[in-house]
Amino acid sequence: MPDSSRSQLIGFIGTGNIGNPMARQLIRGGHQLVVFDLRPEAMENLLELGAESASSAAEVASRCSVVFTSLPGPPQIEAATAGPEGILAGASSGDIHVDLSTNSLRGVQRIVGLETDAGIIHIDAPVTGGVVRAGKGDLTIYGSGDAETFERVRPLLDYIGTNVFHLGDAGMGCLYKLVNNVIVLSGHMIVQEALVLGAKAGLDVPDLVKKLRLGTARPYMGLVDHFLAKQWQNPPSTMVIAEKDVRLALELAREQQVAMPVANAVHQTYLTALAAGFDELHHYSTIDVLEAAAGIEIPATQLQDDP
Amino acid sequence: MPDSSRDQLIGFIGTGNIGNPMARNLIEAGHQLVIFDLRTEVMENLLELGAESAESCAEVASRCSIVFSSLPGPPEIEAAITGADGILAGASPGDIHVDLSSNSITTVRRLAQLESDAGVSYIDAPVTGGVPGAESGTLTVLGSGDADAFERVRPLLDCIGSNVFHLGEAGAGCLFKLLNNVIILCGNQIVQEALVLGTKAGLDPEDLVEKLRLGTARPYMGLAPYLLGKRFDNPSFTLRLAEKDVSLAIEAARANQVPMPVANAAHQTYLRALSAGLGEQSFLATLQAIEAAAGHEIPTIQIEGGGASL
Repeated sequence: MPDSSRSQLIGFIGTGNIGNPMARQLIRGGHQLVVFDLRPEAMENLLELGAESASSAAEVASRCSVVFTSLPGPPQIEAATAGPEGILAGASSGDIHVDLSTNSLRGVQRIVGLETDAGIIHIDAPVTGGVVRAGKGDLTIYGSGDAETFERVRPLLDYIGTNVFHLGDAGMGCLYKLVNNVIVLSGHMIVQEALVLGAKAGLDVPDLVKKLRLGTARPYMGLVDHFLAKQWQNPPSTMVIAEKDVRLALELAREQQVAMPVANAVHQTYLTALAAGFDELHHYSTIDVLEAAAGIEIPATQLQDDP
Repeated sequence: MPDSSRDQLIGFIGTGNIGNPMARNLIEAGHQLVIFDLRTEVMENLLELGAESAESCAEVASRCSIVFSSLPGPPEIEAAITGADGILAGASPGDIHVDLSSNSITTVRRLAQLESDAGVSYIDAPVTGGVPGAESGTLTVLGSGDADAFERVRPLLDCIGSNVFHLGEAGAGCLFKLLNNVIILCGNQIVQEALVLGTKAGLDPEDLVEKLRLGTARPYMGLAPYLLGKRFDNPSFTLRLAEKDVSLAIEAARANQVPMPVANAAHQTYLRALSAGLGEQSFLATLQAIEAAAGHEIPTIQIEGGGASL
């Protein structure tokens, strides 16, 4: 296959929850994609839109000089990169690997080392904004890695996000992302604890929410509709991913010797949720764990006054 | 003193940070106030506006059939009611006592019973919205207690707040208030922890906050200008009061057997900050305790934006 064809194809590995709408945005931008996901069903809609499928990460890398990945976490990123059928097994010197996943800082540094040795440039570019904004190409991208290479892929990233930042050397992107996510994944937990307390103390929960939205707690109340609707199946983000992101932040905190009492308390509740088998449920279902610990159940409710 | 005069005067006990602007709004609405505070200097501006001062809570209660109180916490409220010079020493049957403070639920129920025994109606009506809300008369008033008595004082509460609710029996107001406060007082700590982590790992604080405001963390970033600016002096809500409110929420959680891991973790940091002598600083000064524990100080930076307050 001639090089010119390699540089006209864009590889995309990991077309699940958030990878899928990002890949779709690239197709909408007029790009020919070669996609791969371990679950063929996650690729179907993209193949219908004209993407070609590959049978391994190595094949994607052998056919495309720019390869994106969007994977659940460090082990999957490691496998897709350094595994026997990984990117390194198919890529050529001078290729670019843009990882849109949330990795650990150590994980990024390890992969940068391996890819650099093979002449591949690693761009660490986790995204924030969630599935809905991913579908609109409206993500914020915390990019990092070689600046010149970053500028080469920026036009592609612009299809995915409206705020595309280059923040420094590879690893910096993950650092911003982990700080963002530990706030998001912890901040709402105190709201869940407080709702459970209010419910057990006898308050009508919808009324409580209405009053809290008129109090100083208002900025924290944006997600409450989701907590109370209790639609945990087929979530945009799972418990496994949430626990992983908080754990990566705590891992970083340990390395940096930063005590994070609240983040650690939050992590315990995510672990309890995993132990209860909530792996693939929405990460907001921690409220069920808190209810179980308090020995009560808040009935699923659709709030009338959406924020 | 004839009863008609007692009915025309409104008592107000505790004219500090948040009590002061609430009392001012009652005066500005045309009411004649009789006020008392242990620190005479916090009454001065109100006396200039025409309020009369009293020497004790008992004197306020003896001169007014409706008495408001706005006090730091359970011990102060208890003393103002049952102390030798307290409200019960001066009040008459049929009087109404409206407590605007955050109290513990068990204490509210006990005090409501004591006052009820003396023929006084106890209205538990803590407020939320902070000093700015108090100054503009736009507080949310989380009222509870006898419904008839509440309706009698509602026109007065309307001078203080724009959302005035009656939520049930005395104690319900405090429960709503504690739930509100435990959310904001604990929720902000994860932002502080995360900022210390990010900056100790080498990120520029101003840039970090800018990028977080463009991320999913955006709703949680309202207080960031205060944190990075380290504007902890002259607080509208002290760390001492914050520790008290979180502690009261945890007390309610214990009474109801509800485990609250995050609230308990956040409470530990409030205790650490108190023992470091930060009690009279803003509740956001827990940042200094988190920094000290990490051996890392975020440089002070003034950035754009105001944000919510208590």
